[in-house]
Amino acid sequence: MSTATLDTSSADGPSVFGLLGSPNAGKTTLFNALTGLRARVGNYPGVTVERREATLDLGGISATLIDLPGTYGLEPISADEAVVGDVLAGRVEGVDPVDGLIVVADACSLSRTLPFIGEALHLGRPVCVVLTMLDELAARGGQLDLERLEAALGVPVVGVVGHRGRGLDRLRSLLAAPGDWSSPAILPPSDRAERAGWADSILSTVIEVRAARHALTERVDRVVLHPFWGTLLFAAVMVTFFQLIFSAAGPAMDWIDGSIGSIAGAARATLPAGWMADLVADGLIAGVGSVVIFLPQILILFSLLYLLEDIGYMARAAFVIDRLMGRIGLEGRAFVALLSSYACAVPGIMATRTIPSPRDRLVTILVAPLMTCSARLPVYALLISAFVPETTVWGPIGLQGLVLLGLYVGGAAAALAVAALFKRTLIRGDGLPFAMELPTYRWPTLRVWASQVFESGWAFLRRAGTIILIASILLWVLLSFPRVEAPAHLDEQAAAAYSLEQSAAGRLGHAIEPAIAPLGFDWKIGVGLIASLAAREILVATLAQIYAAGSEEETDSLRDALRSDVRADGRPVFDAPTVAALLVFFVFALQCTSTIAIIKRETNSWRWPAFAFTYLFALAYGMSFVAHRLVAAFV
Amino acid sequence: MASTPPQDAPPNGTLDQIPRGDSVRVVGVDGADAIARRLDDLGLRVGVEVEVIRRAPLGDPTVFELHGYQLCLRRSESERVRVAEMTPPDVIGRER
Repeated sequence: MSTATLDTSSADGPSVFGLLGSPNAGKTTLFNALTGLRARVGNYPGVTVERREATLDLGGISATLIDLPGTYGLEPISADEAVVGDVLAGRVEGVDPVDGLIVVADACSLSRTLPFIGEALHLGRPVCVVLTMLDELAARGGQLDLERLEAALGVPVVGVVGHRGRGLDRLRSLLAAPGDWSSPAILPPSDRAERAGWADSILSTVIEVRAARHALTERVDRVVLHPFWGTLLFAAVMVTFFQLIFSAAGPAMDWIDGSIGSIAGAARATLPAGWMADLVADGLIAGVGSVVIFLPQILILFSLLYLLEDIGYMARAAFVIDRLMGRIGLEGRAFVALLSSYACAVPGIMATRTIPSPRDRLVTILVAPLMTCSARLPVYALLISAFVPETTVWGPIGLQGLVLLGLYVGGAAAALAVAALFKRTLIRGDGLPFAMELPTYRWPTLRVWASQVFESGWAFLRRAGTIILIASILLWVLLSFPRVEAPAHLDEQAAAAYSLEQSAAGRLGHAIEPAIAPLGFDWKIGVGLIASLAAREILVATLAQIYAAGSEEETDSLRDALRSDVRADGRPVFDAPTVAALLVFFVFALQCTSTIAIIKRETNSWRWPAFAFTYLFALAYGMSFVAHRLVAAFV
Repeated sequence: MASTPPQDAPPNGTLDQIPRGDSVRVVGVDGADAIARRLDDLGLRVGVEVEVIRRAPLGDPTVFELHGYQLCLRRSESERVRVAEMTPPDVIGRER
């Protein structure tokens, strides 16, 4: 990480350059090629638009490079797009005014971008044009006269091949002296139609040979976008993708879990017994573990995501599924994020970064927690195995499996329904038309790919990790204090149950009992719900502790304890309506501080995580209530 | 936005109706709102040649090729782009 600060606004500070260009022009590749791994990533205030900048070393002179959000034109058509204009006008707090603009354009589609370059010349800042994808232009047989282009525009024009480093030396020396850049004698017309004419007249002298179609892309797309084979491939890629996130991360997560357990054990052995040892072992080390445990899934997800993105398949996958996603008001790219959320909402929400429309991205983030993540499975497994009879319904299909399937389908259906509702009411479209470029296929560059994956993992640790850590320690405090000595005649398990009931969480469980009674929940389930705010699967361990049923591995004894528990009037606590209500509650409720933390990180405000928690809690309570009544009426 | 097509090229449809494999020339974009501006920014300007490459398996969206790049648009946007058949001089003049 660079040590340079962000507020170097004085005139004699380092020069500030903005990278301007359309989403697929190769801006990010150029940014990475110029700056290496030193990007500072954040958000622009008020919007969910990512802000990336880095310090450039230009042989003794340093400069700041801002990677502006990709845009096709300078007349914004949404609040989020207005960020580009605001940064350029110096209206964004904490962002220095830009001393020079680097307009990045794909050499293969110069005729599209030239009017945009003309628009940028009107911004009144020194402009330098960088043409990317020159290697592809050559491969497609196209020829451009860069000198003529430079003469016609009146500003420096540099051709680069970002991932090979070609042309970067000339660009660096230009950046070292923005005062020396030439500027146009006459500005291009400011009227749209006239500017198009201006562009055409330049193009007629600059384009020597037009690029042919990319032969490889055309051949590959014949299969990849074929109505039948393309759909099949899409399904295969998505199943593999999901399978890898879901199962390949398992061994690494088990290993982390085991290591954290042994570190905690070692800490407990060295420290004198008491609350200090508990804090270190159960609070601090377990808290760190609850952060690190996400890394395998996040790294696998982003390795695959960026690989598919860099090759050029992501846009094609979105193309194949767009029609279906369009029905609920989202676009094709939201599919991958929702699918990833089946493994875990944390990487799923991080995957929404590939959705260009910030509104669509927000809606996807808000519904992602409804997808049935793997942390719900232990809860479902416990309740279903304890209370749903092992009867067969039809052929090999059993009732237990059907209930589990119903919970999965229910979550997904709820996510889609809520997304459609939000898009029609709260978060309407931002008016951005759906327009997506299909890039030509290219081999990914290892360095670029690795840096993207690294950046995602690091961003998670740094910005969501701290919140998760603090939340887990707070929950530990709630579950452990005040410490009341258990009566001496109780055995170890009963003592643990006793001290949990006396803890703040235990008292809170009692306090919320009237509120959750309509769902059939008693105070013990209440404590479980409070504890499972840390992570849903903690419900199982907490119930085990309350019922003094030994360790969570011994689920048989826990199952028996749950089955035999009775209320004051002799009815079982876990009767059919209560079990149904509890299952439904877990379908909807946002019982996961990590998800809350990642929503905070991705939307850059507490407003959206608060909203998500509230609406999902209201939904969970309402649907549980309905489930309780329905089952009570029919059973 | 120019709304009157050139006289020698009568408007004969909108971009969403053009069959796969055909090339057409843009004669105008309906409306003067933000979406019309964006379509213009994407290169759908009067006189530009557009080829229909393929439709998605479910019928929408469609991939078009223009300005040497491939753009994917839904019907709701492509139906705003008025196009005309390529006239013989267009076809001959294509190889510059």
